[in-house]
Amino acid sequence: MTEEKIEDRLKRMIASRLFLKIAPEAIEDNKSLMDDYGVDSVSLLELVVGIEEEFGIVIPDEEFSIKHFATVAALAAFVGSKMTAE
Amino acid sequence: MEQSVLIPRGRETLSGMLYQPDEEIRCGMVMCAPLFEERKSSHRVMVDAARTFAANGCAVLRFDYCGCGDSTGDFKNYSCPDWREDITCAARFMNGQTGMNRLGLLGLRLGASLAFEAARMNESFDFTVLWEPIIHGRRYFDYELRRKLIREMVTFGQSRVTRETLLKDLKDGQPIDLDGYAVTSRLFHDITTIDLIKAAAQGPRKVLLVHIAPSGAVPRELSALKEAGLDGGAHVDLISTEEDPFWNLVGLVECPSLIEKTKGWINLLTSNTGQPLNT
Amino acid sequence: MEYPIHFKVNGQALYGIVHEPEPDRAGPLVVFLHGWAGSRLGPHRMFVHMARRLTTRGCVCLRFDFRGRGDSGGTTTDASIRSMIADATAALDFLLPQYPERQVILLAICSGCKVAIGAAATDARVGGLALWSPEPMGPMRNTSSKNRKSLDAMRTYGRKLLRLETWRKLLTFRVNVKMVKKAVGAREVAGQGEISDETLWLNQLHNFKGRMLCIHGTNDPETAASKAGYKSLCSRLGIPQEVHEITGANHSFYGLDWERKVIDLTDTWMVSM
Repeated sequence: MTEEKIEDRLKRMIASRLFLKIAPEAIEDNKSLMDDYGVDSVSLLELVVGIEEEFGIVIPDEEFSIKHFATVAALAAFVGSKMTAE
Repeated sequence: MEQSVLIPRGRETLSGMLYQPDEEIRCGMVMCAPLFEERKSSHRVMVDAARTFAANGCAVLRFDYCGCGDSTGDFKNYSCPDWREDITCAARFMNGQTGMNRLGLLGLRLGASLAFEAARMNESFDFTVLWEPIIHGRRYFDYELRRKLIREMVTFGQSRVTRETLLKDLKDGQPIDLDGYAVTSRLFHDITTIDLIKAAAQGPRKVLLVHIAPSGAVPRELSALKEAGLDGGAHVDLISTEEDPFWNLVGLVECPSLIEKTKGWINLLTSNTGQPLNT
Repeated sequence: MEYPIHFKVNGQALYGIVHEPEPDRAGPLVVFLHGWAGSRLGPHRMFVHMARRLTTRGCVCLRFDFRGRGDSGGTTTDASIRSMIADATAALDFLLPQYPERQVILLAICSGCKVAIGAAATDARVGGLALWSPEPMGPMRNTSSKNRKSLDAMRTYGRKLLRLETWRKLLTFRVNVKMVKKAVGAREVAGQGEISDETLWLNQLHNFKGRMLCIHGTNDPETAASKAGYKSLCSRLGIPQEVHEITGANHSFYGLDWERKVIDLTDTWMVSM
């Protein structure tokens, strides 16, 4: 599975789980999820749960680092690495 | 008429608000608030609901559990069994104030779980309304722990603890800090042993389950709770309302659909005047 | 002793709890002012804990809900910082006759601090200000918020923020725009009118002859600008100011240890008043 495809799936999930009124493809890879799309700690939790369900991975507690959730690109890289590891 | 009340409860005093209809009282209801910051976020919706129900002939008592809200006591000294007893105490108080024997319970989130258990243990409650109940306490607590980690991540850049260390502390008898609330190992045990589906067979007899979400299907476990109640011979209705999860928001939210649908169900249930609901 | 009260503002009944000390104890009268979407309890019951501590010092404390919040009457759509200042003034009008000759302290958190400043600027009865996480006001906003997007500003509220869903609904006009604008704390994206009001209150604060306590959390994104702004203000107006930072704390001090420190510092400051 290519990294780009992960990004597309993430964007669809972000738009639907966080009820963003924008098309998934309009979410930019390198814009700040928190500053530009208003993702906060409450919605981050929903995102984490969604990612684990969608990609069949487990995000260990010690890997909760803000850098993984900064942008779609960063998140895709993180998810990709978890999928490869598992 | 709204009247603030103080309810004696052993060494403590429960603070509450009693809403009495201007005209005939058809029934009474004790409202059971959620815990932690959910109590704060849901406050105004609960007030709006109480006012609406009272205007519709249902006397309502809202109150704070020991160690919560305006009631006396230290949060860390109390847990679920105490708060279930608070519910019963509040109901007795309400009966004394209004003379109303037809009493129901309405709970939100963990308050719904407490209401469920209080009604299960005390068959004199005529009806139980459960707004988005916590069905499996373990799952809810795990979710709350994860929320703490994520909040730490947002605050510090990285979570400083793990669920494992937090659970170890609890199992070692050390309280943990959940958003300024001291959660003791006793409270942890009491929350994580909540399993409403297992208890549903001997659960309350007339129940309204309400799923509250902006969209989406009714969660499987809520349907399973309904089925378990029906299997036990209870009358259980399950409805959905499209509202935001107001107990989890900072900001002021109105939930007209939730309140109207609940009011409608209570009206139907209490429309047989003179007949006890339990027969 | 604690007892409930109601007092009226513009025909609406506001609800509060008075904490009364033992008889013959003569400490200040402390009125608690919650944040925009808060209530008389304060975050994680912080106001309750503080009031009960201060009562042991002989203080009379009032915690009340602003119009449209908590158990008070009114609706949120009609609320504003101006109306909250009127509520605070009405609280003093109600309580002072019952507890005369006590120094009046306003203790506030988050946007309640703006209310406290506005009240102190216009009401000579206010003798002290204890401000927890005061937010930048008026010209202070320019340095703090110019480059910060409105959504980011909402992160100051204890990390439990309004879901983007509500903004989404707002943008599609599926809800009462005015109601949601108030509800999400639109003061963080304040119009020129609100900034003008705030600037006026800051300028009028020369009427305030008391002392100010400011407590900030180091992990509150508003702290840097707020600390600088209030320091400059107090220096300019000759207001004795005491400032503390709680290491690691966020905007609403969501932690037992942080809460304890805020309460201890405030308690010590009150004793010195």
